[in-house]
Amino acid sequence: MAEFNVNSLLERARNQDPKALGMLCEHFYPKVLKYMHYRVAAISAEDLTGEVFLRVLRHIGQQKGSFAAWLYKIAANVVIDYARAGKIRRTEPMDKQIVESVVNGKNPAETVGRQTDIYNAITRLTDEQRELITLKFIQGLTNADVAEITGRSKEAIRGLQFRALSALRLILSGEDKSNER
Amino acid sequence: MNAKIEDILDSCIAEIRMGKTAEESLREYPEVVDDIRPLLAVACELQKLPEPSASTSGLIRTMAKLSIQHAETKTTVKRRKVTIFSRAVFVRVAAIVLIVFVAGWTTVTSSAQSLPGDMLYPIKLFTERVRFFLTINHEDKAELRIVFSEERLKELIKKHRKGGGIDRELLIAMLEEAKLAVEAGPELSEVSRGLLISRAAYLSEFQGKTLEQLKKHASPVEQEELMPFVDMCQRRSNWMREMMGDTDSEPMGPPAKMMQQWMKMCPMWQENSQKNK
Repeated sequence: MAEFNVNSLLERARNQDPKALGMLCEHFYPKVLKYMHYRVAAISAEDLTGEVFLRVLRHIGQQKGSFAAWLYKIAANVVIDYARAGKIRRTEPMDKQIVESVVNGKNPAETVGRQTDIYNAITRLTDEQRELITLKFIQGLTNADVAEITGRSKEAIRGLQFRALSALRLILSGEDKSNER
Repeated sequence: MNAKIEDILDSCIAEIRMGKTAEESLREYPEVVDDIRPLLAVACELQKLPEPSASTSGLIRTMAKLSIQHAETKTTVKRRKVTIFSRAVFVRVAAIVLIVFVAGWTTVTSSAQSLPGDMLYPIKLFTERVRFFLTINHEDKAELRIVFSEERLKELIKKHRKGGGIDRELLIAMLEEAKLAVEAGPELSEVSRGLLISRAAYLSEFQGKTLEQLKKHASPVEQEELMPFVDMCQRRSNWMREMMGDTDSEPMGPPAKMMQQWMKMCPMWQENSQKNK
């Protein structure tokens, strides 16, 4: 969807146009679901994605600037709130989606095994490292977007990126023993 | 060194995103190739992770929740509008009106006894102006002028008793109000005009006599000051009696109660009146 259309939909959504709200939800639902999928256990992702859109509806009148950045901020807050309430299962041994891809024959078993390792390694990162990995590499956002969403400086983002990738490499190579949960 | 590696890593990731391979992006940094290469490999693997399939049921469930929430929000907004108007705002406005009214009424009542130079005296004058402004009937307006003229005379006596001397401004204001009262005559009916002239004639005579009494207790300088005003009052009284065509009859006086109040205020005059009798 072109940015122009998103802006036009936003304008209507701010006036509580249900059709525009529905179209925005439909467009951004897969992106938010993907974010949740890698930020929390896959089993909670759909529920939390639904919660994100309920908050969008409640606060759409106050939205300013980039809608995507605002949306991911809400998603990050939902994760924090649910983590505080102890409702999130932090880890899962095997991601359902990756297993499904093997059954469907999309990826060779070796690749699937590696992706499962990476997924499990991500679950062992710190919250801030996991957030950065999700936003920058899973969602494909720029440093500027990540900085806006997380409220950190670009320099801090570069430092966090280095530490997160180093931690992942250590976990994947089996060198990291301290971070095991 | 760490900071440099962080920047180099970020730069390499940016180049890979623009289409270069990991090796191509590392060419410029041979000194850190061994440190960066494995991190870039992880970064590339992260970008190839599969998309989670968005289940239709999840999307439908979310849309249904949104519809319910949307309907509830609309109802709440409508309900809140009514609540704000009927309770909070109404109570606040009522409280403010009550406070303003009580404060205003207290101030106006207190100011009624004030004299020139008091803090509340301007409020007293303002209240008189408001009363006059709110009066529509010409007859009532003329009556108010007479009341104001009497009030200036009361203030003059009170101030003199308190040692404030003769206030020339009050004397001028007293005569001016009486003059304005008479000037309203052409606007009135013949009967009302007759009553007004009679009332004004008595007022002028009364004011003249009161000033004469006051003169007896005044210093020579103050006596000199009062003289022209006493004359003016007498001349006005005579002129109005002539206008009525009845120089012998007594003009219509104020009610007995008012006379009693005046007597209390002017004990010297009371004594004088008794002597005359």
